[in-house]
Amino acid sequence: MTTPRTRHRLLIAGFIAALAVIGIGVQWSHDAAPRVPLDVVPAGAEDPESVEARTLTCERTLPDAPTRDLEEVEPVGRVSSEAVNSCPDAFDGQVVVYYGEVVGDVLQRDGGAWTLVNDDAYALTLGPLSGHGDFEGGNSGLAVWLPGQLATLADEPGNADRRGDVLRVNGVVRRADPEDGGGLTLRAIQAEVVFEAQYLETPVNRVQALVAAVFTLVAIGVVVWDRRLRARR
Amino acid sequence: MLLAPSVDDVKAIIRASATGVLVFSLGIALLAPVALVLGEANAATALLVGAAPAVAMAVLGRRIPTSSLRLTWTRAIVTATTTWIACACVAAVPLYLSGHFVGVDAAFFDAVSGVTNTGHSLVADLDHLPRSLVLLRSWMEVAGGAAFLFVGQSLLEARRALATSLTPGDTMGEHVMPGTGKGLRRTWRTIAALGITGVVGVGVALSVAGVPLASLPITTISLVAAAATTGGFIPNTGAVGAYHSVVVEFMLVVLMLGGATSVGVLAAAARRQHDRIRNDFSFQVYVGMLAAVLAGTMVGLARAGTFEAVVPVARHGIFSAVAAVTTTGLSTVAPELFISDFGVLAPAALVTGMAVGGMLGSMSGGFSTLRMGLLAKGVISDVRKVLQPEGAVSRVGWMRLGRREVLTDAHVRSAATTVMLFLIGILAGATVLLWADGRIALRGALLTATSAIGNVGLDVGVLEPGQAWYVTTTFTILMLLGRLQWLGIFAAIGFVVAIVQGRR
Repeated sequence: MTTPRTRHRLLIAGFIAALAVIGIGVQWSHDAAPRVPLDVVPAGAEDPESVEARTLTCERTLPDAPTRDLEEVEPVGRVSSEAVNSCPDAFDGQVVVYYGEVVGDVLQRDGGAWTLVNDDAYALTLGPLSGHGDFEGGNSGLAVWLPGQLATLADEPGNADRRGDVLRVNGVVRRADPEDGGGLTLRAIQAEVVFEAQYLETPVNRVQALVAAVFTLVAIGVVVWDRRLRARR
Repeated sequence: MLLAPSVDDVKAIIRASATGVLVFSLGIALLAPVALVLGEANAATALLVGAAPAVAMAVLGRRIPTSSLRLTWTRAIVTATTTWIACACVAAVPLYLSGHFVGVDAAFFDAVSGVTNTGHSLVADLDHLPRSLVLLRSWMEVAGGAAFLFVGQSLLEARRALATSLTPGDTMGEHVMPGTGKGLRRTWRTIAALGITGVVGVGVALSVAGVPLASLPITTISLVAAAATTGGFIPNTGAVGAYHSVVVEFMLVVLMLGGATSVGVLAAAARRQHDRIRNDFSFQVYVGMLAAVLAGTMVGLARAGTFEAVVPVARHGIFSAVAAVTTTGLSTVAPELFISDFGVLAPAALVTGMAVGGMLGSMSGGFSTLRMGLLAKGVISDVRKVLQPEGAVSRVGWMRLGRREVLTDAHVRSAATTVMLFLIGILAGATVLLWADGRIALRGALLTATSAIGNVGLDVGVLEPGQAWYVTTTFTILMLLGRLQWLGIFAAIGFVVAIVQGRR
């Protein structure tokens, strides 16, 4: 006959042991995740990020500053979304070159389509994280308007299963685009697919499947046992 | 002198927590078949690895015999704390196994962010995240928001059982849900109404905006959960602006306002008791706060020259102000632009709104409009005392849904304590960020810390994947402190200390 104190100690020990088993199972599953990395996209190798773009300042244009016509604007070369987001005023109205992967939903509208185009490491160099497991910060991208026929270019956006089409976009940065209610946009003048969408072929994590099966069977066993005990009462 | 809790107290807390964990874990387990249908086998098994042991342990926990299941004040508040932490542990498992988090601490951070309706995320490569994990995040927001309302109910009942007076400083929702059955039904109706309105309205708006049919259901669910529960997690880096639709933004504004309005006020609105709502002090402060933050944001955006026309100022100003005051943390622009393109005044107004938050008895965070109002009334009362002749007695009161309350020192003290603790939390969080990374600006650090403790989730690019463990730990604690209004965490710590050191 066990005393209440002993019973409580056994319960606590059982709880800690269960936590340890769960922890081992979780870590084992995590470490066993299979990786099949995608090819590195050679996008933009011929277009290194523009020196001119980096030398632009982040000083805000005053509201009464003279506006420039598009014809007066000089192209600044290749830019990154990080530079544009950190310094939107400096790129306002500039014609730029931008490389990135189409991700998320392509929103078809009259006269074109809105897309989100990312140029982070998961988009251009490493591919989706689940394929390689190398952490390179977060995502970063720009909203790109693809007018007319250019909208058909982004037919395979990236998601959990694939890296989407990688585009080279030549367009104008609009810091507060009046046609988008004041959003920061890149309005494409020209665009082309430089790298077709590529599907991930991630195999099933067998260790994780095994751990899930064992845990699920135990859980079902406990629930059935509990229901039987309740039914007896 | 601390009195050690009885074994029955501990058993009752385990049983009550187990019920919450069981419901939460079953919800996660049900997502596994959805993941399989979506062709995400590894996500399905990850969900089961997290949910199955939690279901088993919760069922066993509910079998622990106890002589009394009565939910006293202490039991209720410790139960709430342990349930929140346990649910976050369960949700952290599939997140960690997804491979989108640098470490266990980052996965736990995201899980806490989800169940506390904060919206911060340390997920790496969000745009390639499996859709079933987006649904998991939405489930965490819905469960966390609903639990926040129901726990308020339980705490209210506990206070009544102990026959003590209710003060506005006591956690939350002291007047919003009278009577368990009626209050529970009212809470369910509120959640259902917000959910149905949201799914229909946002679904149609997204469809018109051009979201493809294949991704419409999951996008709709995630946006509705993010707005209506004030959770604020958006499954893309472009934020709400990625949908380029004023109609979508309008629907989300309606849901955010609904989620941050107390259940009592929503129920009064359903009964067309407009006078009660108009006279309700908490509601008045809420509306006043919204107007002040809106004005500050729009003036700030106009002064900074962020937008040159009135329509964009109004569109982005209204959305940002509502997202801040309702502590939803959604944005129409890339978060970095709050620092790089919004000037100084607009972010300052938004931070103020984030700190104050929505109404008590709603799903929003912050230290609440009622506490803000009571503090202001306390100051006015003190000034009156100074100006009045000696011996004069003045009573300051306020209306809450048709009843007149008299302001007491306990009200003001309680509100002041909460506000002070919030400010300490903001300073602590900002200090840790500045310590961790010298490149972070003070403005960004203060905004991020306020966002965490106010359960807002608006990040300006400061909290990113790969943060040092002590940053993630600090901000995880801040989110829990904010959601449990400090008292829950203090009570749980006191409970553990009493077990170890208390007199039997």
